[in-house]
Amino acid sequence: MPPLLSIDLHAPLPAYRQIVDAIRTHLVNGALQPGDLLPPVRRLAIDLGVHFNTVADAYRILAEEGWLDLKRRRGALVLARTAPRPIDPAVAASFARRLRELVAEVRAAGVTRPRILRELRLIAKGLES
Amino acid sequence: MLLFSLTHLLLIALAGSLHPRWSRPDLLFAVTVPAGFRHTPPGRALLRRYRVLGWAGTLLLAVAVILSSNQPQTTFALAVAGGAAVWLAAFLLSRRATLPSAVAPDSLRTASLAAPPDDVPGGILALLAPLLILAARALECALRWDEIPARFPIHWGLHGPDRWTAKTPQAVYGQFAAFALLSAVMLFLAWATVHRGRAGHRSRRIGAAGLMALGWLFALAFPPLEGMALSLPYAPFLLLGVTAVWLVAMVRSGWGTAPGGHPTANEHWRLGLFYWNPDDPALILEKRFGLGWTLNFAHPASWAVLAAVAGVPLLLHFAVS
Repeated sequence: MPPLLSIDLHAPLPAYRQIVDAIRTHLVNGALQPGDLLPPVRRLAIDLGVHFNTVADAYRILAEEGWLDLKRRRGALVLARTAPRPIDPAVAASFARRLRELVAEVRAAGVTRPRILRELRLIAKGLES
Repeated sequence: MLLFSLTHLLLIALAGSLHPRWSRPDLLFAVTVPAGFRHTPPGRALLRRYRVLGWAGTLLLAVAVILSSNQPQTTFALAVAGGAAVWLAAFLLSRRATLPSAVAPDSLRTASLAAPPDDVPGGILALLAPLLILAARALECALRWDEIPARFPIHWGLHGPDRWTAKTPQAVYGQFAAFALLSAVMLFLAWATVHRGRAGHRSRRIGAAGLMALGWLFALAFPPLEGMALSLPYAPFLLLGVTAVWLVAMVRSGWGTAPGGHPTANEHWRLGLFYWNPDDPALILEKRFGLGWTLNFAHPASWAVLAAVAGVPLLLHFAVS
């Protein structure tokens, strides 16, 4: 079953960010493996019904992060991203803050504490395995 | 001719009556509704009203067709054009009655991240070959000009050819130009279905294969010049056969009827028939009306296709006038 990408056009997060986040999640989880070919920009844009530039921006961000090699017309090739990159100190410093803010946001939106804990445990389990 | 016309009227009525079954469950008369709405009492009432309108109009038209049976040409035109107009009117009235029940389309968009080889069946050579074949046929006609009959058929009825034209360069090469344009339109639409169309990978390839088959047929069989080595005989029958096989393949592929298709907003559909959305990169997409696809008329390429299609009868008229 090929991985699917879903975006919500009414979500507050811009579409290109949702595409980046969704593809990065598949890359980190291993659903997308090095050597896999992602659809060309035009194909994915047509399938999602968004502007070509939206998908092009998302692919460019992932390419800058070292995940993708952008092939003209053929699509985007998933790269083996095994070499540890220098950790960006700003990213490391903001991780805990962003996580706390996210938990606060979803609690404010009514998501229950057991539900949040369950999701966090699932993430932790995935990291351990 | 009366029986022939009434049969056509009946076939149109049957197609019109059954057409709501051919659209996705979340669409009714080209309006986005909750899935299963058509099985609720209001949905069933709308469907009943549509069929009553359509069949009542068809009955009135049948009477008019019978009364005009002493004018065969008028009878047939009345049956076909009138039948289509009756069911289109029933559709538009039903669409207006359905709009108050419309819901916003799902804002969630899903796409596969698999990238299967995305090209027209047979590749670029299969796409360009029909135009090369037409050029070769035109060359053959020039080389064997004396073997073309002084008069050759240009139109066929139920009992064979019923219209001829005299052999002139304008008649022969005008027809080649017309069918080259028609073939080119089919081949462009095949390319666009694969590369600019929104549907499943298999549906797009089946759609493109059918369009390419028509493009090849227009190149090999039209104009049907007897005695020329590169001209396929039985052109009209081949056309009917190819179209029938293609339509069956399209239905079996589930085009336009699969649940969970791409959600488009009601406001982008003019009369529920014409799609206009400049923000949508797709050029070809599923119709809301039922089986088949339509163009996104916000793209200039759509108007170029329409202009080319309109140019075909003009070129044919020029060729045989």
